[in-house]
Amino acid sequence: MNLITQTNDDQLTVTVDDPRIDAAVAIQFKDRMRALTALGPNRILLDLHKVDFIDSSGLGAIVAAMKQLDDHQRLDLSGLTPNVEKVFRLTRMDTIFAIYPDVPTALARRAG
Amino acid sequence: MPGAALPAPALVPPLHLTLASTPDAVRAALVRIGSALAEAGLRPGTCGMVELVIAESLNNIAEHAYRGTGTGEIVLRLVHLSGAIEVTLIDSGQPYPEGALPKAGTFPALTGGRATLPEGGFGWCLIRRLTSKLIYTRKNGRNRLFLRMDLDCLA
Repeated sequence: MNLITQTNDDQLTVTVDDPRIDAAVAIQFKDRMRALTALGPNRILLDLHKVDFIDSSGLGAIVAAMKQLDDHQRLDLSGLTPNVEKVFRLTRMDTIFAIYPDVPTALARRAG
Repeated sequence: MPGAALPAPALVPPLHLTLASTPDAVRAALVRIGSALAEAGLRPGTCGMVELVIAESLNNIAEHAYRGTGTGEIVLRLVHLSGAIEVTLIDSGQPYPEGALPKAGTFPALTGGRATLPEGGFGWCLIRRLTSKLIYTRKNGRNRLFLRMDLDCLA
């Protein structure tokens, strides 16, 4: 799976360049996120606008990616497509993450 | 026929797939099913939720029924009736514990802070939430799972 990264100050934007986060890539995704976030940016923005399918394995991998962060780091989300948004809503994970419509909006609003 | 208000909605042609219980084979089957649903004109939101239910069901077979026994075969049949999709999944893996589907009625709690957030336990909740009928039977060493999804309730 391809992850495209961009750094702005202490924020790291990770765009998932893949239409699916599913059981086939969940472990790989979690490991890649660990490597990318280990350098310690304070805020990581995971941009999902290219992802049109996520299953519970993929959802679990995103939660795991957040749980493996240091205490000073936070993980926000942007660009949820309708199917992905619905999975977050059904599982109520939309109440756990700050979710922004797109990357510019997320970067403009520095959530505390 | 003149006067008919709406054309009959296209039905997804019946699908009959045999796949290995590997993540890549599951993904390939889901992509194929997703294409078939979209080609028949089902709404994207409906296609996505049907695909999700089948994904969770196939993942369960791959991760639990065939746990410890390596890769096995899964037979999938999908039928589109008026207003519903019915899927039957057959595998030769281990039966569900106590011969019944996990109850798993409610989604895992999200209280208690970052460290205690659940990374799993969503699969059966999603399946139960998105299906109107769910029947599990064990016969002749095979698991058979029947799932019915009412399309009006999915989008």
